Amino acid sequence: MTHLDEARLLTLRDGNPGADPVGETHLAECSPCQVVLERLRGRSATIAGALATLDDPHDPAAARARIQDRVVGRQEGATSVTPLRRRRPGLWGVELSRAAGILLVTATAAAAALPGSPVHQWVRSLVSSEDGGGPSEAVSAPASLSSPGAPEAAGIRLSLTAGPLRVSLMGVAEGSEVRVQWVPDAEAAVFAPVGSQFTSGESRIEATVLPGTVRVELPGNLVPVSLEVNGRTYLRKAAEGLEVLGPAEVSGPQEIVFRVPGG
Amino acid sequence: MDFDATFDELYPPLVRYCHRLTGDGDVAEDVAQEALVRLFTHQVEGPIPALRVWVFKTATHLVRDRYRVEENRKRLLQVNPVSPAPSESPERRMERMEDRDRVRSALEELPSRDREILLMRYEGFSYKDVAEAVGVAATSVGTLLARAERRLAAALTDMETVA
Repeated sequence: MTHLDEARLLTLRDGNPGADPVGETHLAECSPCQVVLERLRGRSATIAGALATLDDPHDPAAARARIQDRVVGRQEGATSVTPLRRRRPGLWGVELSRAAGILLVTATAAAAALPGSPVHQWVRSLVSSEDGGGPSEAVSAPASLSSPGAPEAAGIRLSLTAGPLRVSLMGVAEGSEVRVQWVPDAEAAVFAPVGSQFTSGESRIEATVLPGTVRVELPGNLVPVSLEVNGRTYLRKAAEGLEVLGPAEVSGPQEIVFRVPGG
Repeated sequence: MDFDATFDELYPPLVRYCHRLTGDGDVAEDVAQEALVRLFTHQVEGPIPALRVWVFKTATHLVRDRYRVEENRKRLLQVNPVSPAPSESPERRMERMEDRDRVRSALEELPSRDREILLMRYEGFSYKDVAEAVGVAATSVGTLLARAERRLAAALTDMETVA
């Protein structure tokens, strides 16, 4: 008798009924094949258990908001830029260039910084700290990264060659200033009081900040860009222009200053 | 298409798959979100199982593009270690990180297509859906999956022996 090979047994193990009626009949009558099938089931359980060790909790609420935001942004952009047209087939090229210009979080930017600079010191302190965590994890930045005009500020930088970019600030206290500056280089940055928490990923910077002034640097030629403060969109920039939606006290070509209102 | 219902159904398994596939939580979230953004902006219609195949296929391609340069992949894995749960004891955390590293390394030893097939199968997809998402003949999935499982199980056993 010819026994079933492993691929056929897997097909039966994984519940593809009707896919192999001859195999099913054979299996029902063949003890050696049944033994092998049991072994394959055990292997499957082992693998499933091993794969589960890779899993981490993810925050679906934040993801839901981000996706909604991006869907709306893209639909608005598509309507105004290329009405009644579908996305071009060449868009994969854009994705590739985005992937190529993948975010360089603070550690990477700082690695290129000159020794002795505040950025360099900050990263060195993270690297030398046993429990410092990776640069894209929630990081409480030490005071060694200073921001001009805010000597007690910590921060995060993100290099990117193309949009979109979403900056989200949470926990910004009532009355706090959020200063947005347009910068000529290809790095976005957020600076906030020491002890604030920063995270980044491709196309986004998120910060949960302590009370005090927050400074945001945005590359001037980058679109689309959005800034959210405490869940509310304060600023949106697309190819067709800039929308200032938040409570701006000063709005100039180089800088916009928002004052966060109370609840 | 109901945004919330679709999101609730698709996002958790998709981000888990991407995380297992890439070994990077941030990349996984970015890829999963991009796949869903495309689903909604392309206004893809159909029953949830079909949408599920669509977003997994899209995410698989996004990951392939992202990791076309293998060095980039390695760099990201070094730059973005997965964060530990804050309430763990140091010993438990160490054990968990060792287990995870072992599984990650074993998974990395598989050819990328075998890895995709295996991970999609362990998300509960049928062989037909796996074939469509990964781009192989449906009749090959059993053979490829058997090879992937054998290799992964062997790698895990080897690493346990060494440890």
